[in-house]
Amino acid sequence: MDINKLKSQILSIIFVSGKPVSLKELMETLDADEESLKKAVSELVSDNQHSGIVILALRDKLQLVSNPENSSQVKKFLSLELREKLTDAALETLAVVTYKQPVSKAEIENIRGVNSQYILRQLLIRGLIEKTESPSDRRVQLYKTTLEFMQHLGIKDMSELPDFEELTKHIQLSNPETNEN
Amino acid sequence: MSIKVKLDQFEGPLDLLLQLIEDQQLDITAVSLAAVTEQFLIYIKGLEQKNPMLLGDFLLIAAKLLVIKSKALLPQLVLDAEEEDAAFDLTQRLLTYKKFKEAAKLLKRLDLKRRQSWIRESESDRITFLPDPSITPQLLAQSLKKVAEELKEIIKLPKQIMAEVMSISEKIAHIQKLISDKIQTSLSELIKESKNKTEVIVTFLALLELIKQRTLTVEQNEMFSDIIIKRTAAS
Repeated sequence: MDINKLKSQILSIIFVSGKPVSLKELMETLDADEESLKKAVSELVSDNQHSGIVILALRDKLQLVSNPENSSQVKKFLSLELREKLTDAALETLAVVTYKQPVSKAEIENIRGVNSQYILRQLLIRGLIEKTESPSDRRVQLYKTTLEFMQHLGIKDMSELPDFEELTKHIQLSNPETNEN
Repeated sequence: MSIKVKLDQFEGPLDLLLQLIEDQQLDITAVSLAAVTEQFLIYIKGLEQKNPMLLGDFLLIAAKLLVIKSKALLPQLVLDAEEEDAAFDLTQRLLTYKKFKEAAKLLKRLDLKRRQSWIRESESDRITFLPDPSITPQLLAQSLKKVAEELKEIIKLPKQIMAEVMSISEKIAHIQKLISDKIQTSLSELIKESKNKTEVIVTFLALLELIKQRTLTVEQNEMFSDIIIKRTAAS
């Protein structure tokens, strides 16, 4: 199928759906294979970066949301409050989930060195993370970031986030500033 | 020794450790860890009273720090492989933790930009409450009462009486008081009042601590004879 036609059809479907739409649902509805769907989705995401409506794509879920650049105008129109700011504990835990996902509670606690049961539950309630069963061990739950996470932080595409290695390459065992003299 | 760090300011033991090392502009090495061990332990003492919930996490790291410190003081000390690993992976863990703190800073900057997006308001998702027309407030109250009654059974937990245990700090206070009244006493005298083996051990540990603090001195004339405990002349 013509990719432009496919893009147009996907856009119509995610517009009328209030909930996130999965690739599987699109595949069942549209006469297209997974590969061309994925290509169409990634083009839709990049085409709409500056539009008033952006498309969030996370794993196999798609959702239309207002552009985070227009945050304050939308807030004024709907007369709503922005979502509450995140605490340092929440940010720290989210950072681990963001860059290690899918990640188990044990691994999160090993990195943070502190019991994280309570903070994980709070993040789940706020919808910023979700948990899924580990494919290798059904007793283990793995945590991932969500579409709500992207909406909260105004992330239009997860690839906007810098690579972890790149972000932390200046952090080493010895502090370069103290070693200079 | 005073310590500037405030409680609640730290996300956990690794956060505290990192801060202690960075305050002194040290690199993350076993040597630096040995250097800040004392401060870490002082912090734990404060935590014991204010937030015992967190104590376990801090004690775990404290145990590792003590292994590192022992190794630094006694280079000839031979650790088994497990102890060695447990203690020395701490520098690596601190490094990893620091990296994730950096990532957290990035997320914080995004959060502070306060740029958020929203989904379209969907009418169909609105939750409505449609009670059965036969329901009355009295009926609801009755049901609620019934649920509360049932919950009572569930939350009735078995009770266990805790055995009283004397802590080392209580014992230290006790010995200090004793020795200020009596000037001199002996180990057999102190142990005589102990109710069980644990208390004997606690008494001995308290004694060791007081000797370390140079509050007391001890004398023993020959092997296995009674140990005489005296107040240090200066104090």
